[in-house]
Amino acid sequence: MPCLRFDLHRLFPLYLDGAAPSRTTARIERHLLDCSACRARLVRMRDAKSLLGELPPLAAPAFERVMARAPRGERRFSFAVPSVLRHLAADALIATVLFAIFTLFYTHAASARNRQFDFSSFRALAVGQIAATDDPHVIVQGVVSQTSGDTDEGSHRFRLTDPHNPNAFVVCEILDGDPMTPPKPGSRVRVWGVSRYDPSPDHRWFEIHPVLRVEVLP
Amino acid sequence: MPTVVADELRELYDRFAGRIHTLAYYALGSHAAAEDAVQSVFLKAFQNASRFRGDAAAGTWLWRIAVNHCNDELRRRARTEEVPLDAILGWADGAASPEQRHAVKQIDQIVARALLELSPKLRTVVVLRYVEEMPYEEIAAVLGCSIGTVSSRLARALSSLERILRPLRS
Repeated sequence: MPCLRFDLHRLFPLYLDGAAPSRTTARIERHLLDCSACRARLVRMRDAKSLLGELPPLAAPAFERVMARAPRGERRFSFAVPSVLRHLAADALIATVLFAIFTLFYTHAASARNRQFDFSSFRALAVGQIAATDDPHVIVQGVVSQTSGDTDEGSHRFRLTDPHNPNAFVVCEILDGDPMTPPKPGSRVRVWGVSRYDPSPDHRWFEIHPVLRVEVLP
Repeated sequence: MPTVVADELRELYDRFAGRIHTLAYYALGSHAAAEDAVQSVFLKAFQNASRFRGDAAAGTWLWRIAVNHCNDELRRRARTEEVPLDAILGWADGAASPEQRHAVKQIDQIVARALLELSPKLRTVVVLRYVEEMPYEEIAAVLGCSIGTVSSRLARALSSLERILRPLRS
């Protein structure tokens, strides 16, 4: 079965290079004990890395030779167009390109997220029930009580609290690079994601990590 | 240009030109393009000589110019016109004549060709980390992203390279 711990897969290079913080190393090693797919993934990455070590560095070209070469001229044809029209055309082109990028980016991100997972198989739980489930794919509903900006790994965290039981909470983490917008404090949301327990001494809490989808409720 | 500045730039060239040449060669896939890149990067540095202070930040700034030059160059042109990687790996896989096998010269050439199959973003980060052996913090500073993003790109790049180069291991 494929492993869904994308949050750890992305840190494997840091781990392989011995550059991961000790907390991250401990998380990865705990996971590797139980996940044969990730052990194999790590071996494959190490093989690729060792092949890259075959690439020799190049020497610098001689300073005088490089600097003696004439810079490449970039001749352009100029047309008799008033500069204001040129500026308007350039602005229109930039606006069109930005709009196209924005549309493509969001369409792709949304379709990728929806395509990759069958959300109908996720199990709906109350925040307080998350400690009792073994099911990795969960849906949890609650109120956003805290948000924090970038963590040391570049992701976004928010804390989801049960409105009927303020002591029950789960920490939700959106991975770095995910275009998903973190919900605002005070909003009621439904969150889809992978449940896990973070046993590190300064955490010791249940998490939804990574968050795969967030729906803001009215 | 005042002599002191010229001397500093010459020193900078001596320190970085080889490494920038290496990055450009593996990112762009040809010696001619790599030499053009070195020239462009250092001409730009010469034109902005007043911004140099000879400290560590100058190196980061120079790397940024180099990475941007490579990315611009890759955007400008389509793929390389050299022999496709699949053909080369086909020879390496044993499905070819002895003459063709003989044509597979060095493993480093195959790996260098495999790099060209990666997107420019992944290619750059792989070369900076595994060829230039640049620390994660410095790569993050050059690319203007977090260490987590550097690792994430490396993870994708290593997985892709492993898939491309798998026939070499069998």
